[in-house]
Amino acid sequence: MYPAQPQIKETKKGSGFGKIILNILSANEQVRTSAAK
Amino acid sequence: MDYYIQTCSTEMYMERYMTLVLEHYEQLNLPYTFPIALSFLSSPLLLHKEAFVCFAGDDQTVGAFSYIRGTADEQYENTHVAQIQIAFIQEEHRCGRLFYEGLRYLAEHNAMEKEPIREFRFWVPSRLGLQRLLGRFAALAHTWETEHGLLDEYHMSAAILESYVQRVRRTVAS
Amino acid sequence: MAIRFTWCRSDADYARYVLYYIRNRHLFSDKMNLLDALTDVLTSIQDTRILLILAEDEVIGWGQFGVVDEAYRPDAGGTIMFMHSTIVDPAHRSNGLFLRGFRELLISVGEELPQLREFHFFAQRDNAYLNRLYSKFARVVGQREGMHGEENIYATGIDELKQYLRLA
Repeated sequence: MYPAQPQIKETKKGSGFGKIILNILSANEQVRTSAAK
Repeated sequence: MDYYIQTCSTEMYMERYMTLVLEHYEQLNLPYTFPIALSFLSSPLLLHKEAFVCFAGDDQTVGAFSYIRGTADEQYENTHVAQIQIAFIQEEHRCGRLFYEGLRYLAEHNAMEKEPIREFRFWVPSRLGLQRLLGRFAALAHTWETEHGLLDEYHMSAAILESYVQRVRRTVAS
Repeated sequence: MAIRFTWCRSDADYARYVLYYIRNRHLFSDKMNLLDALTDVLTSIQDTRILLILAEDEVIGWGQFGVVDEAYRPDAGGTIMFMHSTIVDPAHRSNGLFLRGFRELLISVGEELPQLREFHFFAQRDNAYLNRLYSKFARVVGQREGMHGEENIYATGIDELKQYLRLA
């Protein structure tokens, strides 16, 4: 049987989560205030 | 119908929260692309566990709400301000009581915090026509023209939230 | 049981992909928690494409692929297709499904990304079965330290892979 072994990217644990998501959020929050193109 | 609200302090509840919002993703009416919406939905779990799930008597998840502290423009240091990332109740349960219970839970939870939030902000597509309902306890601060349509930004002070909850309690039949 | 493949395009597709990941993350590792899974999705979703595997319209797995440069960094103009991860219900795993998935991938990207030259993926060194399987159409080009121990880096030419699949 083929076990379909997945490979996953390293994820940062502990305080790493916070930094990662804040970086993503900082960029994303702009869509709430951007003017229509 | 008995409702109760649970703070997502353990992985099991966090998973119930994520599962609910993803199973009902289209009904959330989030005016963003999926990757952006997912970042907003996940952020309370990845930051300080400020996510809450609403249950109906038989352990059925029927709603959820969550927030994060701080805003991007102040590098998230303005922790007395919170952004509500989602507030959702399944259509069959939008009877008014659960909505009120959610507001009450939020007010009480916040009052018990070491550093209570002073202002909650949230964004609602203008086309949903919720201005009258939301205007009862929040101020429409701005309407933005975005790629996904008009977006109303509301600011809700914790003080006004609390007095609204008190006022409704006095008039709601128990 | 009718099995078919579809690329994630709509919000509903993406929601199903994340739901399946959350519910089945233990298939990756019993130490993988919810926040690990969410972080993986959030940091990879913009630069990858996801192929959903459906049985009677239920998601039973998916494969996630990205176009990368030699350092496996996202690069829309890159010549390497990289398999970020794949996951399938144990009950549905088979060589047949594996090959069908590859065929689906090559047919789709072949037209859209004609500049692709190679296909790369990682496999845990101590998984004898997988390494035997992969060696049939790919060769080890290096090693790396993965989340669960040492991994072999496999590479195959896109044309090589196409030939192998037609013969299979």
